[in-house]
Amino acid sequence: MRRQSCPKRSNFDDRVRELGFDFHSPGGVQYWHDEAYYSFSIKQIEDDVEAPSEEIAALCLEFAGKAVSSEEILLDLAIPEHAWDHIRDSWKRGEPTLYGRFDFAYDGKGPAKMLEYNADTPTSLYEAAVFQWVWLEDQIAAKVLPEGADQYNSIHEKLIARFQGLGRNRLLHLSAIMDSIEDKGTVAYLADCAQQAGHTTELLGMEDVGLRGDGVFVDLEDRPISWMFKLYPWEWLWNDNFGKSPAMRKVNWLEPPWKAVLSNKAMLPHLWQMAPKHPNLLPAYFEHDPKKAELGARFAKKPIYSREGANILLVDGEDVVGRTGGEYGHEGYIRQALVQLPDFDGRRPVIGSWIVGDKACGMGIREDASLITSDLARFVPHAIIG
Amino acid sequence: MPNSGQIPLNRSQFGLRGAQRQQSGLAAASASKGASVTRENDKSKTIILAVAGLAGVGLFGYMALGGQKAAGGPLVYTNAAACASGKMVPARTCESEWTAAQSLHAKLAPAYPSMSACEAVHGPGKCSNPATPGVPLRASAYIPAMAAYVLGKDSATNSYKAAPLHQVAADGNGKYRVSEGTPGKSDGAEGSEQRRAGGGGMFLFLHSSRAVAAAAAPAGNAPRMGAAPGVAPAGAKPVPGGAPQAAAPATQRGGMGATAGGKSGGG
Repeated sequence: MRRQSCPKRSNFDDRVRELGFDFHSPGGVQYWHDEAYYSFSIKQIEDDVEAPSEEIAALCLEFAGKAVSSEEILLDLAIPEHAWDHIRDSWKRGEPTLYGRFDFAYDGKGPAKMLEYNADTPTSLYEAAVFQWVWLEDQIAAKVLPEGADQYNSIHEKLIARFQGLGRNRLLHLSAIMDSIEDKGTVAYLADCAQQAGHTTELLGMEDVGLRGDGVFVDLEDRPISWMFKLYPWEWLWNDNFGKSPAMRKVNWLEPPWKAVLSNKAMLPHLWQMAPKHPNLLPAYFEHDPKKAELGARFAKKPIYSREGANILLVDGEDVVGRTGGEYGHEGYIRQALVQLPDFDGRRPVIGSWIVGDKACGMGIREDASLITSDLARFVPHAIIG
Repeated sequence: MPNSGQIPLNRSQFGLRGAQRQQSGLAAASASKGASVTRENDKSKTIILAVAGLAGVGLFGYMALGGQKAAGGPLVYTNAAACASGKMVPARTCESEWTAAQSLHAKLAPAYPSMSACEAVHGPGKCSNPATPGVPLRASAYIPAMAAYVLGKDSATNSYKAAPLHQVAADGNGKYRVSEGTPGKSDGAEGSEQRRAGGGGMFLFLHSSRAVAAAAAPAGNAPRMGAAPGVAPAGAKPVPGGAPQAAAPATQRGGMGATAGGKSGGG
């Protein structure tokens, strides 16, 4: 694994425009980085990223099965009681999942360590699935990369295939906080994949979802919503006014309610308990668990619910090596062994490993100058060379 | 969803590449397992983005005002009143930032030597020749109107900052560019001294209609008279304690999304 500099593509601006990957960086903070890439060997990808991703995904499913039928675990996860039945039923019915993203710390040598699982509302999808692939082709054509260069990336095909497996010609509503361009872009991309799988799609702001007097969620044209992708965390939805409505049970959700038990950092201590010493897991304990002392003075303290790297505290001995603010943490914290992200010329990459259905199928790398990967991180493409 | 402008992305070489890699023995281990890494493509596979290449959706428009991405993503409004009614930004800030954005726009919008040159790019009736106080070089220039502004929260100072937006006729309706240089160029030295921060790509394309419409008519709890009962799907049962089904059921909105408080739901 190396970080290589490379020339910016001469057709970069055209690519941005034709692929709709438009971004803005007046502060000089560019999200997509076109002048570097990470290079991996095929062995690193297959043995250190792909295989552990599938293994841990399977472990997560095992945990989900345990969690949905354990009130104790659901309490640990800080999931509101009014949602328990819905979660349990969605698991028992085997409601399908679309996708998820593991974040790994990996330096090319030791085993990748899973930092967390964004199982409910992962983003950075389009750039990993599409824009990154186009970068590879462009750089091979420009002879910046060798002809045999490859990429760990079948995300796009897997998403379409997954949607094909979820019925035929259905109406899929996709909802998000549309004021967030990234979120809107993510649902627009997923709508695209669903359309290519033969479904009809409708984008909808979360706040535009209507609850009709007869107890059905409807879109702005009063069409009933029966199948909905939501780029909106379950714990928020359950907290919203409509979150307790019986109408919640009349929708097939993507992600399904049972995913809430995985997209939750309280899962991490449970996974560690289920598979102690697993090479790809980091020791983790609840903040209230005396066993947390086993981590000594090197740990990361993370809120049970947190997104985009908010409210995280990194402690290394007597030093606080990282701290972020935010609005999360009311539900409690967990403590995870501290893993230093590898340092590539001052950049700290985190591997985003994509799961579609139950298959690991691709990777996107975000790097940050800080030890905590935030929403300010930059996306850097990767290539498999040799 | 627009269906025009399909952009085929040729992935046709992928299968070849995978095959070469395996044959060359670069990674013996991959021979048996390579298919999981390589795409299951054959030589003729193309990937198509149906949504007009997603252009105009403004994918991943990271708003990096002041070096910070806006918490929850940027907010785009076509005037200060729409901003205020969006209730995401305090009304007073909407007003002051609109004024600030206009003054930035006067300095940073692309400028043309003649009205016709300007209108050729930005469309008829979209240009003017404003006197620009304090900017003598631009005093005689023709610039496009500021069509909207985008607000982002600088998480370092916890304050909103705005950037001016204008439109280019060729982009089509509902798309905006940040007023930061020469149209059609996202990089380079043009007008660099007038840029606030320099840097790379300078475009912000947005399908503004949704964001702006949502702002203009905030989703509150305003009940809306909904569809006729006949629209209800077969099997839809009345909610216990809910509205009687006989009447045309009223539809309430705004019961989802509030917990976000303007934050992005993604992660």
